[in-house]
Amino acid sequence: MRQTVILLTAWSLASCLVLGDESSSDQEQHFERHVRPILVSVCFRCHGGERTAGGLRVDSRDALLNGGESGPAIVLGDAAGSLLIRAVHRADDVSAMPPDQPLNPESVNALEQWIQGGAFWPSTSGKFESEKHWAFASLRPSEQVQSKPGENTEAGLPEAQLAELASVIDHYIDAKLSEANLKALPSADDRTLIRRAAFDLTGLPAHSADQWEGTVRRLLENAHTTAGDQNTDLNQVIELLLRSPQYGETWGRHWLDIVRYADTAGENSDHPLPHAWKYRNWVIDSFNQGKPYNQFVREQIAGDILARKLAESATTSGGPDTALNQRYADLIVATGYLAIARRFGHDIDKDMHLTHEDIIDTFGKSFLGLTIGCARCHSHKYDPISAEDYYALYGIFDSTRFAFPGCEPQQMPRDLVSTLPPAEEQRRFRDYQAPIEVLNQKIVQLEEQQKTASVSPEKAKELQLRIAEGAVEDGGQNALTADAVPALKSIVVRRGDLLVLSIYPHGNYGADTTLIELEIQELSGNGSRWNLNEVLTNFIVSNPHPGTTQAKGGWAFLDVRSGIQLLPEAISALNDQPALQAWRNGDNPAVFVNSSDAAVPVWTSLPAKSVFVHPGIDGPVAIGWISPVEGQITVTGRVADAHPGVDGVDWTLDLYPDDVTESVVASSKLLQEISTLRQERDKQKAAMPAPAVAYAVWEGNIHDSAIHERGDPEKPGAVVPRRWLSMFGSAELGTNDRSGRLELAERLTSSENPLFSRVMVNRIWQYHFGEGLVRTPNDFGTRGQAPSHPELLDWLAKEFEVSGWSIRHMHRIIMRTNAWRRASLPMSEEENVLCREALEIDAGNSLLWKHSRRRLSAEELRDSLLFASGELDLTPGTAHPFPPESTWGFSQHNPFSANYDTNQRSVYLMVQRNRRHPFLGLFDGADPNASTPQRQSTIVPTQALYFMNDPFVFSCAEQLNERLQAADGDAAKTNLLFIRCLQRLPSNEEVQSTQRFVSEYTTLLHGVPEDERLRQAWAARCRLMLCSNEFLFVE
Amino acid sequence: MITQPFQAQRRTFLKSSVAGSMLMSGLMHELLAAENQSPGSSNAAGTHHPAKAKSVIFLFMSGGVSHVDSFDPKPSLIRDHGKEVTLDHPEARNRPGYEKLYLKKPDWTFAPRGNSGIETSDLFPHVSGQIDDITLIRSMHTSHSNHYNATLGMHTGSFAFARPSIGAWLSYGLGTMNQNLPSFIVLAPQMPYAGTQVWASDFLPGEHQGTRVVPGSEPIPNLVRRVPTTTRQEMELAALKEINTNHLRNRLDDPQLIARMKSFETAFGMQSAMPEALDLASETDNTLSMYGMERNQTEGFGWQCLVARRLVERGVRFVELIHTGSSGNWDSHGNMADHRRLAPQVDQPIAGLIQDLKQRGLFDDVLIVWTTEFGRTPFNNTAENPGREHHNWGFSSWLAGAGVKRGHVHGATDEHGIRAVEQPVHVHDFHATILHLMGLDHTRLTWRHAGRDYRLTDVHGEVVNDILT
Repeated sequence: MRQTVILLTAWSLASCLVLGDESSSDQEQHFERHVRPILVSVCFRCHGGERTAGGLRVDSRDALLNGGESGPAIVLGDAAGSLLIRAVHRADDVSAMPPDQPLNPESVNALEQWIQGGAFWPSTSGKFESEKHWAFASLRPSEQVQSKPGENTEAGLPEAQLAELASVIDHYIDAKLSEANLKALPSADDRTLIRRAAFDLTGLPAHSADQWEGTVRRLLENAHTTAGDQNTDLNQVIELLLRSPQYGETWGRHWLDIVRYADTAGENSDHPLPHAWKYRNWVIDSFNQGKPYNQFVREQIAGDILARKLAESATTSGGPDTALNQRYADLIVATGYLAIARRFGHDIDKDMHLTHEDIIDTFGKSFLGLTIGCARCHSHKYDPISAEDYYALYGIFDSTRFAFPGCEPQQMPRDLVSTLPPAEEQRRFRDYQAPIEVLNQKIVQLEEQQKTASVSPEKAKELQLRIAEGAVEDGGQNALTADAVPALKSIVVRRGDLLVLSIYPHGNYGADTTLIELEIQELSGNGSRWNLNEVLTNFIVSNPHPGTTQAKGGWAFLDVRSGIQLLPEAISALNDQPALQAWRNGDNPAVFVNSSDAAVPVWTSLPAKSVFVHPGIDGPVAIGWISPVEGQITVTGRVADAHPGVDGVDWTLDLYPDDVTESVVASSKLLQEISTLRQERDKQKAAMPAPAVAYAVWEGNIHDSAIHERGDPEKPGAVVPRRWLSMFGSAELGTNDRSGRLELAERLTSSENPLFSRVMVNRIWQYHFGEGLVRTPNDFGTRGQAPSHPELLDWLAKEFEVSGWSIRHMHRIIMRTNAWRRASLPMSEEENVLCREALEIDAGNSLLWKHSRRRLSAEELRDSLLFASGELDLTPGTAHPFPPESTWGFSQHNPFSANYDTNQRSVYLMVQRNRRHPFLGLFDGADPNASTPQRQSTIVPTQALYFMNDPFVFSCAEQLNERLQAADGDAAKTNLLFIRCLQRLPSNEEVQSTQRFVSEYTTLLHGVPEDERLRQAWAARCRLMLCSNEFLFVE
Repeated sequence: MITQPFQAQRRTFLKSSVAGSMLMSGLMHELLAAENQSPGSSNAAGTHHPAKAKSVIFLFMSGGVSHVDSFDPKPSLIRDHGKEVTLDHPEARNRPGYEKLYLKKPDWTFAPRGNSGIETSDLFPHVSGQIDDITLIRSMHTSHSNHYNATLGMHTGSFAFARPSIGAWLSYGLGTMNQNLPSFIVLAPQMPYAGTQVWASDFLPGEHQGTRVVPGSEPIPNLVRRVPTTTRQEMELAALKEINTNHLRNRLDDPQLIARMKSFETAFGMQSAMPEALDLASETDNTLSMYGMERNQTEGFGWQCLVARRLVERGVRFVELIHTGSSGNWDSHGNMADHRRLAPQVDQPIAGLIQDLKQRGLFDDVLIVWTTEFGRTPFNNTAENPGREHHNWGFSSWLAGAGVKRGHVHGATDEHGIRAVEQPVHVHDFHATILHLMGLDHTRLTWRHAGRDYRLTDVHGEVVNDILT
């Protein structure tokens, strides 16, 4: 379907040219709307697949007529006598259907009406029309000349040969035109063709890159004087364009549309993909390198496997093999095609079946022009793709390990794939890895010891002496004073006893940051005081903290969720705030301090010079005081909710005897050791070279997959072996130790698969002519549109194949045709009449009697604005300035969201899945969530508002005006204005009207200084040029 | 598909609107010719049956409003407070601390209201005061217990994939009644869950996407004239028209080029039409106080409600109001008391909107929809837990105005408010009903995309006939 949408007046009267949208018959509508949904959603689950209940299938009219074990299911024209109707009426002598609950009366009616009316089935010829469907048949051999296999098509065949091949295309086009009795327009002029060629191949207006600016300028100037040898020069321009780096950026962008490229994952918090750009650039580089299309595709599906083979076959010579390393990295990066699949839900590991659907759907559409995705829930309604086919492919992708982007409950990426061959990886990292491994083993050992050294829950319970307890309401506090809590007045302790203040979470532990003040005073002896705030100095020096007393004793920070153990992990800058230090076990429980003189705003504002605790989700945290004295003490202090909202906390104060303290302290030494070893390990890790990774895939856990009944992974059905689509012969793919991706890539790109070539040449054609020969580029199935020129499509498909899958070769021959070079508008009265007649017969121009005018795409528009302004930065983009992974904490409440400004080409803009880029959204950019086979080109008033008022348009006009003002005289200014914006010189009339505008505009500028007026008037004129239709459309 | 009578009507409309146009007078013929050529349209443009409502105001409470604390009285829940229930609930499954679940009574008191005697709680006293104008659906249910997915589902009918929003479908189906304003406007001061997908047109043509309007000096991007004076802008546009008219010469009246020329004229109109719609200066003190607003107030839900009335008055098809966004919203896990903070923000404005529409005779033309993405659990892991979790098995929404019964209750949850058991209404049914009221058959409003006809309701949805007048 053509997607050009035009808004004639405003939203209300939107109208468009939707071509070839056939209206279906009433019978078909009744079937599609009422009958098929019942068959699919109600009957299919038992009467769908190969093994069907009662031997009855409901997926074709013949099957219903033949029926099952109980006889024919339907009798044409006799609803009451049909078994199916009696079953849904739940008649006595038949099995009631569906067995669980009756159909609603409307559905029963619909079925009756359908059978009564003769049980119309859209494809009356059989199960599916597919057996004879044109797109699934082999390529038709052609009488016409083709290039020979082995010729150097990528570099460029001799001119005569290219011309001959182009004439074959014209032969097919002309034949259809004369069949329709239509005459075509002649060739457009040079300037138009250069601009058309430049946009087609580089997405930019003419003369952008320095190396071919000269040629183009010369041509432009010639075009206004003499009519030189047009073809030769134009062919030279095409060659220059094909060799410019901007070619890959433009055709790469087409490919990125098809594979729904994005820089974020698309799950609920839309995590950034900091490495996805490498795949984007790989696509661009592949086009620029002229990579054969079959290889281009193979690498995207199985690059990691090819890389592994490459590394295995390489001879090890000792030193680094730069070429091998580069090739290996490229192959890994290529599988970004699979990795950038959309992620779903909150915890994306749980919704991988949806990601697999996204992959299978995109796989089908991008390479085969088939909509396979719908077979997730039921066999395809129109095309010969069964649920078994779907799960055969599913098994292949489910046997693949995908890079994990991070999601709300698991923020950090994992399973990124190293882009270094194993030998190189070894060479670079071996000196670092061995000592780290030794350290790791030691740490694990000590951690085990520490666990056993801690106090068990049973022992803790047995020896516990409860002194006091209390509860703090949300936002409230408890004073720990003898007045409020009499038990605190006098407590008898022995040397080494452990006094423990524990803080418990309520129902919700989320906002339980609790401020603790604690002071212990000896009532006998020296009357010493120990204040908890003494730990503010050098908080993480050790656990227990010695305090300032130097006496045996101190403060212990405890995990008391199960028994008593020290909090093992010291954090020197919580939330990246150096003033915040913590002892913790995982995120929680934790004891932490704000050691600075000022409050620190983090999740809540933490007052200066204070100690806090945060309990765990599943239990309390505690602060312990180890008594250095014998006798009586009194306790004072405060427990205060430091993060109001949600709920409060409970607290208890307990006393434990010295053998508990000994166990706890004994583990302290271990803790210290562990901490030292960890620091050492982290230091060594930090010294390692940064890992080279890609957002890519790797072979995973190899297995066949079960069918998900009705698409529900909770309802596994029969296991299906991994294999190729049954329509192509069901060849088994993969083995016990191979996912089957490489085999899949080979089958897919085999010349035995006619769709592979047809689908891609149709795309190439479409990006040159605005429409494909098949106008449903992602759907070559029976519901797609038939080709306008079937013989031509097959000839092109064959030519693509024999050329060694050279895309550049296809550009060369297509752009040498008369069809491509036609004018888009009549230049004489005679041509005008011709056009009016042709419009009557073929308004949609499917026969190519002219070249179709087209609106610039979003990227072309933005790049053209920057180009006109002179500010376009042609350096290739690299990584986006995402925040570092260590700071991520994205959630569905606070998802990742950003816009990064750049003057680089628009293909390098950061594309987010869940927050559409405003410019790309306004001008019909690609959908980052689904394959976009063809851009829409809407025309809506909010776009006009953009041109009228957006600062970007104004700044581009200002920059352009700067350049104009440097030119001498109005004529030179006008020339420059037209060349930069429209790539042509102005007519005399245009020179005059420009001058008239400038002078009239200056008269409106009251109050503007004299010398400013002209500048402003010219700036306005520049803006109008950028707003003009001629700027926005390619002829 | 376009019905013939509407086609004729549309041509008449086109003729009259073009005839009144300043720039385009000579082009009417070509426009109509282009119309004749096109076998289809970016608009389905036409009702399938007579419409009850001309426009929709969709009030979306983000985060999940508790039904058992607001519109769904459950005496048994009070009686059985603290009793253990055994449920395989999505929010409790495999969640530490949620091995056992206990019923938890509401924090608000219910009482019969109005002549209809429908019981509501005192959480929304003002809305409760309008209960005789409302059809309450107490048997809503939805397919996902996650904000993102349920929010997407409530807007697009799809719980995982990006699809067109209900407002986009209506815009596509019906078009707008005012050329100078978009047909689908979203008043959302903050981003909701799932971001812009909530109002996206997805595969439908771009003009049907929701236009987000935010309070402040530039309610939609680039609405404010950047050229210093209107005179200058008019002169520029006249010169642009001249440039484009010259360019159009020999170009066979290409409808794309004409449409683009026209779009500048419309945009020029929007620069004043949109601020005019948002300018509350002409509203009386009486009206403002109905919405609980102060004069010169330019934000808050009262502002959103009053602007919504002004937009439907001006012919906008679908106005969505989002209360808060993806944070600071109705998601009261920690403590239901947070509902007490939020309810007054919306209560009087919504009641004021109903009263205002009634006073102005718009209540028969406008459908008000009040909903949330899901309810909250009538239970928790302890009965004392002050919060409630996400709950998709049953919740309450309501409709009021054009084409729906007044003072009516549809459906019910079980005795504890856990499952919608009587006349359950799934989100797809809810959507089918809204489309039905707008004159559209949800099974016939389709768009061919990627080889199949897509609908808002996928392959589901039944119109809830019981609530229709």
